[in-house]
Amino acid sequence: MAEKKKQLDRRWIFLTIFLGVALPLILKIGLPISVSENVRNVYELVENTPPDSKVILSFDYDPASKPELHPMARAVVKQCFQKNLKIIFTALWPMGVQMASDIVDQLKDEFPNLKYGENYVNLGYKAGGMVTIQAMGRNLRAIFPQDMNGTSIDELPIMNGVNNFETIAFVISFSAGDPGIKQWVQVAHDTYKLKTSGGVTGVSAPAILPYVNEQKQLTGLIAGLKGAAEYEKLIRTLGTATSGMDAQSLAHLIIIVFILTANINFWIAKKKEKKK
Amino acid sequence: MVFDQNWQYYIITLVSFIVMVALGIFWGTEKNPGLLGNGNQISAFIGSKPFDYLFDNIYQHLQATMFSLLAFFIASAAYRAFIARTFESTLLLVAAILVMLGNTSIGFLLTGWIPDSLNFLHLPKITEFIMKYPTTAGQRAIMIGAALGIIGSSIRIILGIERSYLGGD
Repeated sequence: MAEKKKQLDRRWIFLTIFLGVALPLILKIGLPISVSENVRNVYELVENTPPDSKVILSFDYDPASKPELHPMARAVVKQCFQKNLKIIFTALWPMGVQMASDIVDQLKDEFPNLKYGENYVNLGYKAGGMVTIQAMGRNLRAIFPQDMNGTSIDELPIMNGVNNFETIAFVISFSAGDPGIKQWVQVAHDTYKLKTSGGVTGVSAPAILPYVNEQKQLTGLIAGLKGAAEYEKLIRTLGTATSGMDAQSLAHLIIIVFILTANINFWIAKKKEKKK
Repeated sequence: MVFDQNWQYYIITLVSFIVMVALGIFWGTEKNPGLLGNGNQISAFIGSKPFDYLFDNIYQHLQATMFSLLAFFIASAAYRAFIARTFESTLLLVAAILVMLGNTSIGFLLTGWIPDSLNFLHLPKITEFIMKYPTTAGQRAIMIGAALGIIGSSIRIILGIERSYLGGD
């Protein structure tokens, strides 16, 4: 009972968190970032893939997870374009299509020579999750006869010779849940032996991390905003994840201070009750 | 007729729903024309098709905002819930603080100086260990427990032992 009386008004907590998140985004502190092995593995997967290889990037998220997944997706797409990899965009989530288009639009100024249909293609969204991936593995042209604009994939040079996963170097899924990276691992990697990697939200990382194992079901994993910031460091681009990490670090620190304060209050109240 | 306390929100939801559907049907989306064509005049004025304009400038931000609100509620909930009352809650508290620190640049700042031979003491490594092993084990235990519960309930229903769903005892 005593601890309840001592509890802080939640509005103070909200205000402190707001300031803790907003100030680093405005002032840009620039806290150091260490690169984890999982993120480096994803980076090296892209880096060591020969130029002109065809890769699949699956956008399996929507605007709700955009602040966390968009920065890592942008970093990976940028690295793929830098390495002259040919990107086939797909989406297991309806709004993933717009997410992929948005990133290409953002990068157009940096890569003015990119040509749709030659350097990249957006096949759009296909319902079905795991079934869609299985069908892609059997006959990609049957499941995606047209791109998102309705153009036949026979007219797109990038799709020449792409009948299934055999000509694909790797798949990377940016995943906010189900369907997403788990389905890509279970079908694309486990069934078709396609190198699979990806990025997930921080909250879903524990469920996906076991797939990063000796069998390399996942070749590395970019987890949350921290992973995105690490990736930005690797490609030497300071983007929104890097500034976001300052905000996240400070917010976590504030939460820890609040937790410690609550515990100190609790123990003081307990001691007082014992004395009585 | 009695109005619910939050009747305004119902109207906003219905109007938003109707407006988005109507804009999509009449003027289409980025690549697809609608019943009234592409709405070039409107697009010239607002910069994109009406549906895409609302999607990019309202819907996306609202969704991101909804998700971001979690930060405030998690902070408040952590302040109230993470109290070291028992041994188990102390374990949870310590694990939570280690994971939170490990997921930030501060974790690296605090333990980055530790030599590589003792890198298992680095906070990011400790965080990775906690997330990869104890958390996964806990999650799997819960999933297995839930699956066994579903099997048990299903067998009871199939054998007619469980009849409460039919209104029985």
